[in-house]
Formats: sequence, structure tokens, C-alpha cells
Amino acid sequence: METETAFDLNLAIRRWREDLARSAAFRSENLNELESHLRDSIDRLRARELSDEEAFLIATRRVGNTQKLEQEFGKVNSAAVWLDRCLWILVAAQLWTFISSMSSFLLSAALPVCISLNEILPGYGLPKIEHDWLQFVLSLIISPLSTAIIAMLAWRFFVWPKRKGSALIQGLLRQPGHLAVALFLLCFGMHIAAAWALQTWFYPFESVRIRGGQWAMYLWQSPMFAVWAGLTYFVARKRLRSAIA
Amino acid sequence: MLSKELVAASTVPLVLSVLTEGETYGYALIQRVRDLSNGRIGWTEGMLYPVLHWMEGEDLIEAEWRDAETGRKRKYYRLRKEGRKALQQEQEQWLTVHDTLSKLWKQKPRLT
Repeated sequence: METETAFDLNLAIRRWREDLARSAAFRSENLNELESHLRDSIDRLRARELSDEEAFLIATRRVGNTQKLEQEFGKVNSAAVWLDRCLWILVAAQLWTFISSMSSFLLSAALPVCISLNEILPGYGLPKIEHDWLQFVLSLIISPLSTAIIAMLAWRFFVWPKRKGSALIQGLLRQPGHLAVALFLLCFGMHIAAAWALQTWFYPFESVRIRGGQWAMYLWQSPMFAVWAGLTYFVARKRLRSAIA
Repeated sequence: MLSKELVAASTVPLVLSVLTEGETYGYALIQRVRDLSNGRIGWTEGMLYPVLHWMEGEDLIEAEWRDAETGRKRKYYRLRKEGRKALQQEQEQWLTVHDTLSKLWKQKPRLT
């Protein structure tokens, strides 16, 4: 006989609730009510001599699947759903500037390497490539490559195998201030790093030398990041309030 | 089983009518409707709550969290004056449909 692994009802209910809580369609009051309903339903089923696990399965099934519930609750809590969407658009916009800064950084770092390879390799019978072409091909490769790297890291961290990062994200979403500061530092830091890399590695190979005014141009863009972060803070706070209400 | 459309249309009058029997909470409300219909009106249980919240927003009903005999908290719903008015209108409409259909269906089949 196989020994059955013990079924922890409270843990199962908590998981079920956490699964719903990931959607903005449910306010915490809604979740309290659904949980209270689920527990009533489980009690009733257990009184009919079902095991904890059987009762849990039937009760959750009767409550309905997450997707449909999300749809219906979303209609009632549409403000919260829209705030959630706005927040993700803001976060995505900032991640996008982060990714594009990162690709200019990688491009600047790769260019000197490729140029020196271009000097060496023709000695071994390979054709020499013109600088303009080299730059063009590199920029074609680097930008999708850095997007892919970020996407892969995000997937590893947030989805597979254990959603390690999702607790971090949930935590950040509950702390709008931290979220905004983290995004600002990420974007601004990468922006400055990219500016530095362009100055030191990339531009020396450009036909037009860049003069000192360039740094000022980069710094001039930084208020934009502050505005993004400020908006993120504002929307995240509103979203949090509407979720708790 | 009722069609999806009919479930959607009848939920509000059913909820209002059950609440005329006195205040109650979601789970008991669903059980009451299931019992009265001999299990033929089976809602996807979770779907009732958005409807209740919508009705709360429309001031048809009011709600309150209270401790239940189980020691847990439950949200109890109560009918409001606006709800009674809405129920009266619903009643007239459903009875109109009901009367008309019953008259038609009581006709003996004609021999042509």
C-alpha cells in the first residue's frame, strides 16, 4: 500500500487564495468573502463524510474557475483593473528604456572587440568587413539579443522553476515608494552606464568625434526618468488603495 | 438547467426575493435557491458575488461583516427600500411573461 501524503487543507486554501490574489480584479474584501464561502462549502461537504481533499476539490470547482471569476469580478472592480493595467504599462515603458540603454552599453562594449578581431582575422584568410557594415550588423544583433537576455532572465526568475521572484514583485507592489525608486535607479543607472560606454568605447571609432557637450545631453534626459518614476509611484499607490478597499 | 442568458436575467430577482425572507450570506443564499429549484438552478457559485456587489453599489441591498456561529466572519446582505421597489418591478415583468406563456401553452393543439 502506498502511503498518501497528508493533505493540508489550510495550505490548499491559502494557495487557492494567492492564485486569485494575483489578479487585480479581486479586492481583498472579495477574497475574504470567497474564502468564507469556500470554507462553508467545505464544511458542508465534510459533514457528508468526504475527505478534506475531496471536499476542497469539489468546493473550489463549484466556486468556479479563476479565469471566469476574474472576468466577472473585473466588471465590478473595473477601476482597479484599469489602474493595474496603467501600472504595468508604466513599468513596461521603464523596462524598455532600461533594455535599450543596456543594448547601447553592450553595443559599445562589443564594437572595440569586433574591430580588433576584424584586424586579426583577415590574416587567416577571412574577408575584412568595413566599419560601417560592422556597426550596422552589430546593432542588428545586439538589440534583440539584449531583449532576449532580459526576457530569459525574467522567465527564469519569475516563472520557472519556482517563481522565486514573484514574492519580490508582490512585495514591491505593496511598497509603491520602493517600486518607483527601484525603477528609477535601474533606468537612470543603466542610462549613465550606457552614456559612459558610448563615450569611452563607441565614439572613438566614429568618424565624427563627440565633444564634451554630450554628457550634458545625457544628464538632460534624466528628469524624464524621475517623471516616469513619480507617475509609477502615484499609480501604484492608487492601485494599492483600491485593492485594499 | 437554465440557459446562460436566463441565469443572467434571473439572478437579480432571485437574490431580491430570497432576501425578502430576511438577511442572509452568499453561501446560504445559493443553497436556498438550489433547494427551492430542486437543484435545477445551479449557479457557478463564485459568480454570485460580483452580482451582489453590483447590487450593493446600486443601493438595492446593503451588507455587513459579522462573526458567524462558526467563529469565522461572514458578510450578511439585507434588502433596502430601493431593492423592494426593484423587486416589485421585476415581479410585474416576470409575471407578464409567465402569464402570457401559460396562456399560450394551455391552448390545445389545433387539428388542421
